Amino acid sequence: MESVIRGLIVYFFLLVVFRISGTRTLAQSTNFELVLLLIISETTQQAMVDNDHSVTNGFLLIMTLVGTTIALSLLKERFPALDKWLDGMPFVIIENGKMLKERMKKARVDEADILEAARSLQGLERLDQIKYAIVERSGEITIVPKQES
Amino acid sequence: MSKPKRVGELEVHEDIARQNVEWKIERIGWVLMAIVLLAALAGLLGPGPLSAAKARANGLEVEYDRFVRYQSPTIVRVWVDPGEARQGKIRLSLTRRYIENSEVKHIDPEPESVEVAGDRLTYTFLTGSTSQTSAITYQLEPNMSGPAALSIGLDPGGEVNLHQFIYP
Repeated sequence: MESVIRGLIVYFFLLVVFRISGTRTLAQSTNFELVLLLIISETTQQAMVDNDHSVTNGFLLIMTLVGTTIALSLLKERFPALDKWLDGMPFVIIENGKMLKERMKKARVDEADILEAARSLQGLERLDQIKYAIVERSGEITIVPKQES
Repeated sequence: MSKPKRVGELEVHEDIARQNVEWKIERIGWVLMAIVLLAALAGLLGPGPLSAAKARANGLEVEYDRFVRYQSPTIVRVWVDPGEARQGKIRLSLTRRYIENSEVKHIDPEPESVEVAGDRLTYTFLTGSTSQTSAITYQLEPNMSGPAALSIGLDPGGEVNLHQFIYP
């Protein structure tokens, strides 16, 4: 199969699988997720390169991947709806100190994840110090602390 | 991007209706992935229980896989009935295009000779016995993808027509 087509197919397959798995799946918050990422990268390489180890094939694949990323970013500018669906949008999981349990469950985020983000980003000690917690498009959780009065 | 929504004192680009649809699509996606994996385990996407097949004709029976994968090893085994040898030799004729588009890793036993004529390749194997079934094994890796047809004929004797699907 032609390299460019192979590259395109693998690109879109990865895009779909990663979107379906949810952005938090490979957040690399544990050692195992890092291992998973490495294994996926190896497997992808085998599928894309096939038996062609020429420099030409390598260059074609790189250009295909970069080119597709550029093409998608141009399309996203033209069609904002595409941006929303390809990259996702942030959503609130703690609103004014109150945990939105339904959303946390659907997003597969638990208190431990929120507390870890609170400690890491703001040095907070307890849940009650959090005013807002938002799951960003990257899967990362960001924290807005309560104002100390 | 569109204007951010206001959640209390926070301005954030949130669209929870769309988010709910996304979560629903996620879950459907998981179910689809599970189905694909189960299909693979069952042998619908490559070698496996549902892929193993046999074909019979006068004088021979062939074991093969209905579903194989590009450049992935597969075995085609021909069982020749006792008494089919002629002067101690068994002649099998195969579709030349199929062999051309595969890498034949090994043939057990090694053929005495291979003849090419038109769109057939004829392999001649030596056999010492007329009272036992003879097994001839082709270990190969397809270099093509999509539907593939291979016909194996005993010369003289019956012919089987195999159909495979080779996943890219």
